[in-house]
Amino acid sequence: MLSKGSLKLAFLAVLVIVLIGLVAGCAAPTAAPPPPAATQPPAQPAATQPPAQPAATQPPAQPAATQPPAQAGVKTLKIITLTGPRYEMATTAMANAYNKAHSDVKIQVEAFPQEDQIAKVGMDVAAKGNAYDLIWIDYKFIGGYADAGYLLPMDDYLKANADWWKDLQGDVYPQVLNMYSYKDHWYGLPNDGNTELFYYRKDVLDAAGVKLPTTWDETLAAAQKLNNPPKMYGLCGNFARYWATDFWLSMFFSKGGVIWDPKTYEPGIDSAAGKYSADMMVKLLQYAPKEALQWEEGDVYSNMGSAGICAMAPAQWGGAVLTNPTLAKLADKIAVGRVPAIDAEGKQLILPMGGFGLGINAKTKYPDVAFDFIKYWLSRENQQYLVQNTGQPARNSALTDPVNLKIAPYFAAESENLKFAVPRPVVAEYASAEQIIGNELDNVFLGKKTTDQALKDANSQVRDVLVKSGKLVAK
Amino acid sequence: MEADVLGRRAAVGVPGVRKRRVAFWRRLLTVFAYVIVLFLFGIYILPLLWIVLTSIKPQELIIVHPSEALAFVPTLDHYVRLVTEWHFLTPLLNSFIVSGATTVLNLILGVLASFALVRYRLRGGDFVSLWILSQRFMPAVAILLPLYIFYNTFGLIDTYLGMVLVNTVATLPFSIWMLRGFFQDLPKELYDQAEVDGCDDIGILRHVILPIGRAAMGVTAVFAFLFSFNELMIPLVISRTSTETVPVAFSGFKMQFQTDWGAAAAATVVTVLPLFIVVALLQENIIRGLSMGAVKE
Amino acid sequence: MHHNQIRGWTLLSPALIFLLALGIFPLVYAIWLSFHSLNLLDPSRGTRAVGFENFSTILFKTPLIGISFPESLQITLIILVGSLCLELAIGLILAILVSRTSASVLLRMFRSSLMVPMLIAPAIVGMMFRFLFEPSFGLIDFVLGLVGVAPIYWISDPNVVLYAVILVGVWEWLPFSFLVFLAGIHAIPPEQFEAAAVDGAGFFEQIRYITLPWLRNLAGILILIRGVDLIRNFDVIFTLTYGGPGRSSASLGFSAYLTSFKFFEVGQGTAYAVLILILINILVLIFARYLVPAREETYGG
Repeated sequence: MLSKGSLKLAFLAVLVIVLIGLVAGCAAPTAAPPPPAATQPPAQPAATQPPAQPAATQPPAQPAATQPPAQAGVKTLKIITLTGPRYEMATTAMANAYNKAHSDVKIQVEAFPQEDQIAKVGMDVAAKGNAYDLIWIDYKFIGGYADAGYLLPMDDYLKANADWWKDLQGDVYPQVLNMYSYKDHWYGLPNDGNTELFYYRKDVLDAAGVKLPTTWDETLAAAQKLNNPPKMYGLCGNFARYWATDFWLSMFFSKGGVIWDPKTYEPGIDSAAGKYSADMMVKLLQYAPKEALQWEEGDVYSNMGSAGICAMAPAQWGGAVLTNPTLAKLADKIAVGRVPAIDAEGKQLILPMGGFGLGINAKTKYPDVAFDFIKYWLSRENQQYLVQNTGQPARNSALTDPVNLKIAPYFAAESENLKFAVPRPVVAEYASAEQIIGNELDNVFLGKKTTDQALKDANSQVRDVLVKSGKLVAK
Repeated sequence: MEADVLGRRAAVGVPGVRKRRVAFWRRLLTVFAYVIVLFLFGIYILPLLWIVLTSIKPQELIIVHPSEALAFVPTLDHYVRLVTEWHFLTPLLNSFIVSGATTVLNLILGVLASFALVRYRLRGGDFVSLWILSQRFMPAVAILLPLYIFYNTFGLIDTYLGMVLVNTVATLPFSIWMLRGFFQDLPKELYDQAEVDGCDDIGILRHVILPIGRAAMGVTAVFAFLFSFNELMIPLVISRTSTETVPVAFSGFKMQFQTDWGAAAAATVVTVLPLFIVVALLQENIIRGLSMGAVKE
Repeated sequence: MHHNQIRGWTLLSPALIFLLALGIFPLVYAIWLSFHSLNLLDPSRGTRAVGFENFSTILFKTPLIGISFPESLQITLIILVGSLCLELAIGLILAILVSRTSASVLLRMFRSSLMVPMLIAPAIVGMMFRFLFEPSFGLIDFVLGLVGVAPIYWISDPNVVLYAVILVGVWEWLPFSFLVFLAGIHAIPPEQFEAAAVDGAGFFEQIRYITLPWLRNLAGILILIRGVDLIRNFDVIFTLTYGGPGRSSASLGFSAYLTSFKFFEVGQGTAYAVLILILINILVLIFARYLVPAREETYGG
């Protein structure tokens, strides 16, 4: 059946591939291994214990001057970030600029989709590894990582850079900044600020005579009116997995809900606020595309043009959304507004907080360089460069900078929003809690459970988590 | 080889009426078979064709309704972006390096082991064979964390060596089983004759089996290569950017904000094409190999 | 004899040492871990021995991920049985049909394109079909629309998603069973059919008494190879449905992953994986006799 000739040819082909592999495979391990764990930094034995470090070794204010270039070649640091313009492109741009300014430093960027990134960092935390020097970190993980001894407290560095630190404190809302403080230590600094926004098709709303809703009930009415599938849906948002939790939270918080009492840790998920929010989501889902039940975060952004109102944490307006040609055509038709955050009495404005920070691995060989890079990223003078490279700053001055607003008009709403934002709990258990809630919400959307039942289950499961970790005493 | 069995059989001494009836059924069956084969062809070629088309479509036509997306000017934009933006050549090269080295290790260890299993009546040999096979069935998720801790301790994370070792563990059991089947199929006389000629066992392996077994080893190599090439979960955990493989790179196309379908399609084409050429040449043997040698030629 | 034993084990030892060194440590550690509680995000709690708690939680209660082992097993079994039945039945029918007619000539022209799906990494196949299943711009709903079928929400409708998973599996592996069966049929000595025809056996009798018995062993091997892969099924689920919507398509392999790396309960997730391992070993033991077919003859010695 198979001719001898072709067999020979195929075998040769395999052989060639194999030989290439052999040669490269033998050569490579000597060429490319990362610093093995065994050869720990000989230079700075005290590096993992910053509080013990004498103040004299602290990095002075001028970064370029402090790094003696003669020191044993190039210092290579790895930063792990997320894929996507707002993260990877921004990180790469900042790293390249920093490398250019510091000939003795090479910051390497590694980007992964969020799911993988969290798993990778989680593994490294569990193995007490030092795979990464700098970690792009969702603030909800700060507590867990810090307790595990994975993150380097930055307090001494902040003390040594008092002027810079004061400037930053004055420019970032305290509720944004404080998310990175845990048990009286600073384990990270916010390089990216974020909250949930409404993206809406201004032309569609105008044509239908609908004003941007200011309460969730109005939103429901608007969605109903705008709904004209499959050309135009009333609403879009994340209804799947833990992203559903974020959507739910924006209603839950505005109705005064708390995931758990910050002091007693008694969960309050099945409160009236929780039920209102879940029921509202079920109603809103009628006017959303059915696929929304399986959407990942990115799918919402792809679909924002085909729904009247889209509730979500901002996409990269300057990056992904505008480089997506389908959406770019709609760019001047899509406007940005605040999600309804006013409670029934019209008093309180509350939004769930998003955003990210940068942390330093406690085991890094070069904590000084790592901090200096974070400082470089967050510095006032570098924010325009960051925004030009599709970053999304946390500094209020950067969010309101007219130059930046030209690139990313939604920053204005973002800055307004951050004022009223409330962080999700910064303890390790929250990561589980948001998964549990998302899970139970999905059960409601799929008709497997009633709202009451699902929230009750979520509450008791979250309670179990808290009991298991010793935060709450079992009844 | 594909004898028209029914037809030929119908001609063997069957009365005329039945012959005609059989001929009718035969024709109907043939038409039916043609339709089925063409249908199958459609089912298999259409999605693949669609991926190829997607890879040469301009960006703005990728996520629009297919009816509006059929007329377009082909562009190599995605392929260019694949190299310049996604740096896809690195994982592609990594995959070839890792899988190539894995294949070599597989052949060396596999030939020795399977020869030993067949040639000597090892006490407990059957048990060992089954145990080896059961290694292939290990769910990767069970060993991820242990592996990470192990690798972290020995500095093997993100090294080619580490990737090759773990991929070899994952593929070796299958290779041993395939080669074992091949050795079992060799006629006993071959061994006897070699012994009479004064060959010792290593001599038999070198002078008798290796020359005959080229095809079998070629197919084993292809499989080891493919399995190693397609592995996702373990490389996802123990590789970083410098040893990232193709499937891991693929998970990167699912970005935070939108999936880059154009680049993903282009990457699929680039990845599958070289594999396809090798496999197209070896197709007959591949089937034999996949069924662990149970299908004979 | 004894001399041979030593020589045999010597040749076997490199592979064995290799597999033991890299295979056994993780396995032993995994089993140890399955009796402990460890949270990746909260290692300060440490690794506590919890006895059989992990196993009892996933078997009898609702674990964190919201789907217990039996429920997940049910999903896996639906995918397993559905995929295997379709692959074997369609593969067999096609093989018989093609082997009996001149369509095989046509087939040979594009047989290699049938093999493409098997070459593509399952993770990539999952991605591909996520794209193709898209209701608004995907190819599949478009083609179905041409023949008047209303859009199907393949991966977002909990009642359909398992069919979608099965469909993707069958798409990828049907050619495999088809080509294996075809090769098997061609290996049947033609004399058997001739003798049967002389005895007056018709088309269906020939299939029933000659073809099917010949293919029994092959079917066993196909079931084993695909069965194990389907029980471990992770890559396709990971990229195609992510176990959703909700947990509607959370197969065993995916649930284990979810527990360990999304909920970070590594102890519980590993317990999940250990149960999968046990399940697979049972399956292998049942089908092992197909894999050690009647080859009593061992050479040399």
